[in-house]
Amino acid sequence: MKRVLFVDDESNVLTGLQRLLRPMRHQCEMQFVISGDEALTTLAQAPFHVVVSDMRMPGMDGATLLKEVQRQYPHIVRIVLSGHSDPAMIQQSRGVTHQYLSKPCEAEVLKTTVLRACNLCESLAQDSLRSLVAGMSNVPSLPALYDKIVREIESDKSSSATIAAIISQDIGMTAKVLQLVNSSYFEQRATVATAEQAVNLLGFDTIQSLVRIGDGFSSSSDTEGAHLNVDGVWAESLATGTLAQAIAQVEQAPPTMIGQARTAGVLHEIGALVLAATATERYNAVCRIERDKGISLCMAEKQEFGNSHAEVGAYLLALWGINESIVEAVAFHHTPAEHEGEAFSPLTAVHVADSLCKELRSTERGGTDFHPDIGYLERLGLANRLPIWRELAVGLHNEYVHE
Amino acid sequence: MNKPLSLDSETFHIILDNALDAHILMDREGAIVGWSAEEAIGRRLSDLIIPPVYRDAHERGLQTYLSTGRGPVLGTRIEIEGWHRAQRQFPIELTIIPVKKNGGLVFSAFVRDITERKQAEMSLKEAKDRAERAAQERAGILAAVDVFFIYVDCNGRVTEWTIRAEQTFGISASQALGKLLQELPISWNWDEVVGLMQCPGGQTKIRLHQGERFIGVTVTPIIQDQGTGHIFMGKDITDQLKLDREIAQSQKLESIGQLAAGVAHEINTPIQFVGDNIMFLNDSFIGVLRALGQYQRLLEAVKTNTCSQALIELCETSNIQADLEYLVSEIPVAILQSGEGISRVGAIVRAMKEFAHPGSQEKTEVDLNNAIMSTITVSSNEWKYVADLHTHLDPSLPLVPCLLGEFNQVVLNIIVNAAHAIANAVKDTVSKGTITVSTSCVENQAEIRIADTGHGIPESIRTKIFDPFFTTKEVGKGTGQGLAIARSVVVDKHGGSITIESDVGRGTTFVIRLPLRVPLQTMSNQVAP
Repeated sequence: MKRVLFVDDESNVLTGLQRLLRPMRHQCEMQFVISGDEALTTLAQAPFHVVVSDMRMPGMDGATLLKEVQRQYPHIVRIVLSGHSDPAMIQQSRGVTHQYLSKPCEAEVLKTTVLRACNLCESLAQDSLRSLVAGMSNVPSLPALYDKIVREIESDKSSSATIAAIISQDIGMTAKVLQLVNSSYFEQRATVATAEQAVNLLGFDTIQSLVRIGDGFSSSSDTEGAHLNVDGVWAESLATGTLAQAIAQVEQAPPTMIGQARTAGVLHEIGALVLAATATERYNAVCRIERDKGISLCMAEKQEFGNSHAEVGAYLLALWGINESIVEAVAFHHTPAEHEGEAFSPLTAVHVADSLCKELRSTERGGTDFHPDIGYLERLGLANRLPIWRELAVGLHNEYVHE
Repeated sequence: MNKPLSLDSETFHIILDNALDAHILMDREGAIVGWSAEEAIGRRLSDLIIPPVYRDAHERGLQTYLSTGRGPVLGTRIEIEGWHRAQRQFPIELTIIPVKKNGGLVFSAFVRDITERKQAEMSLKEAKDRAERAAQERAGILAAVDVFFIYVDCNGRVTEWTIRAEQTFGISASQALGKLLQELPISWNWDEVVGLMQCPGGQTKIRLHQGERFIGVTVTPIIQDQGTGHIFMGKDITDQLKLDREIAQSQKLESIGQLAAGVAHEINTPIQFVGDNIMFLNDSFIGVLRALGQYQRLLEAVKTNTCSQALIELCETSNIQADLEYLVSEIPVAILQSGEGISRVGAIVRAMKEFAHPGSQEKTEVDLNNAIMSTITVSSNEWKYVADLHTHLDPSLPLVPCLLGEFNQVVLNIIVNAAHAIANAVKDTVSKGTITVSTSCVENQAEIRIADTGHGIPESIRTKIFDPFFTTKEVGKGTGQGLAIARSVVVDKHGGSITIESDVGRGTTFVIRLPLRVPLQTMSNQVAP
């Protein structure tokens, strides 16, 4: 059973949580401690999977505790539950925490977050891979985009709109702003699906400090030496995002789903970036295997890491508390049939967009390796829509080529 | 006319009636008599005493009179320019009387040199003009400054009432001057004004128009032989007071803003566990209801003597499903703790309300212990992570005349400083410091002691800590105003004292003393910034 540790200096809060979460006692084992020191002692005695900690505590505060947890137990999911509802506190903790919940936190949000964190542990096969992903506080950005946003922040003409335009082009920055906005400090978090909305909610100052302090965004120097074609991943991600958005629009999906489709499209390869940045050597081997042995990248990744970039990306996004629809779209974008959904979803849009983009490129090279999963589309009763979507893809592809 | 005329009685009388300084008798040919005999006699009058520019006019007037008998200047005293033998004009007063004499006509002229009189008149006029100009300037100045002046003489009558006084009181100078001050329809508190005249000094705030406006008045006694007059000098300070209040309020808002995050945390924490407990009670109740249903069935079965083993087992299962044993022990505690949480939120909200009380402009009788407890509550998030706070509040402390809002601010500033001092001292350790707040009554003063167990204040800076902008905190952490404000509030506004006892390495104690009675001087100085 998964083990969750709650830390708060207020015993009434602990007993309240204990009672509230008692119905979950068959799903996970929970322990409640009153200080950072006690938390570290408890962690040393038994394996834990999730830590939920208060921020301000006498003696060792939450930020210090979580930093220590990150150092000693990088695979543990770190969640803050704090009554300090100011953005400054969120900023202070953002390097060491995966998710930020504000007190008072709705019972349902708390339960869902804790259970999701518990279940996450099962989605990656290797402990080492979990540690790798959980240990990273940001995903490297494309150097050109990173330079652009630094310049934009320094310029006196910059605004939320110009900043959002840059961030929405970048995988790492998009993921980061969505993580921040997902903290329960922001009331509308449920409907935030795009980088633009996130930037608007976070405000210019927060973005500025993300760039200036440098722990929010980073240039992709981490992927230097990686064999992965980083520029290619970016181009592909953006094209997939744009097409997924167009598909959702033509299906007359609600606005939130259209936004989720676009964002999931942009983020669908984030796992590859994570692996290339944190395990460069091992990932280079994966790239070699793909090239030399002529197997798919996913297969090669699974051989080396036990999981593909789809699962790694989904794990990171789930860890960061990003909307489940987006996480699912990323997780199943190669294998939509494994997802139990029965209706059009961001996953449908991203799977189709990703397949069609790859199909177009491979057709140009004379191959026919990639196609959307017809069985999945038939299950959803959407197979007849494919020609329309393909038309959209060709249109966007031509537009892109002409640019 | 070549022999001197002798004076007959008629002529003599005329001379006496018109007696001036010189007497000239002129025959119809215009010769003159009687002036400086040797030089004048026999010469033409017009050549002698009439300035050359008037001579033609003189001749024409003479001829007109002789031919028509009309002479508008005759028989009256006129002021004209005369001609001096030194060949200059000078002012004279002249009376010419025609005298019929022996069938002939002579003109008797009486002349007076009025140079001196004219000069005196001139300088008088100049002095008058100067005085008028000065008065105008003074009126201009008095109209330009926004201060009114009223002078009340020793009889209590108004002798000066400036334009500003007209504007301030809505009473014109003509209505006010010469009246007894106390007869004027001024809507202020007369007892206060009379008190001021008897015990002048300092600026006093006086309400006008049922408190809609306020004037600041200074009364200065002027001691004269006949008695004592008073100058009232002052101005409308309503806007100034409003501004002062706004500034004070904005400073307070600033510190409330700093506290707000802490107070939010203080409230969010109990709300969290009260909410959790209520959700728990809700879930529990659903389980208990379900179990109760089983027991109901069991009861029915027992009544009808149809109770089966299966039913008993069902009841036992529902006990376990509802987690009944746990609920029985936890529900009372959940209710108890929720109650505690609600009281805590209530206490914080109440304390915040008391702390942020807009504050009267005037001193009110304050229960300092109560005020201190409120401030401790609102600031608890500032100290509770680094220190335990103990209070020793003297329950017999009398009410103290105090500007409550400002006093709260002082206590807050010192407690926050104490917390910061301790935070520095316990940094990188797990131990907590202690803040001790005590009150007592010492020598007719209320004494508040706030002691911390921080590092203490080095001797070298002890004299500086009350200076504005002096701070030892890093940039952005403090404005350096906290203790300066504290000093100003305690010393200037309350006539009290604030001192420190510091032991380097062991801690600092701030000692505030407030007088139990309002000293007269500070009462009248309340308005002064």
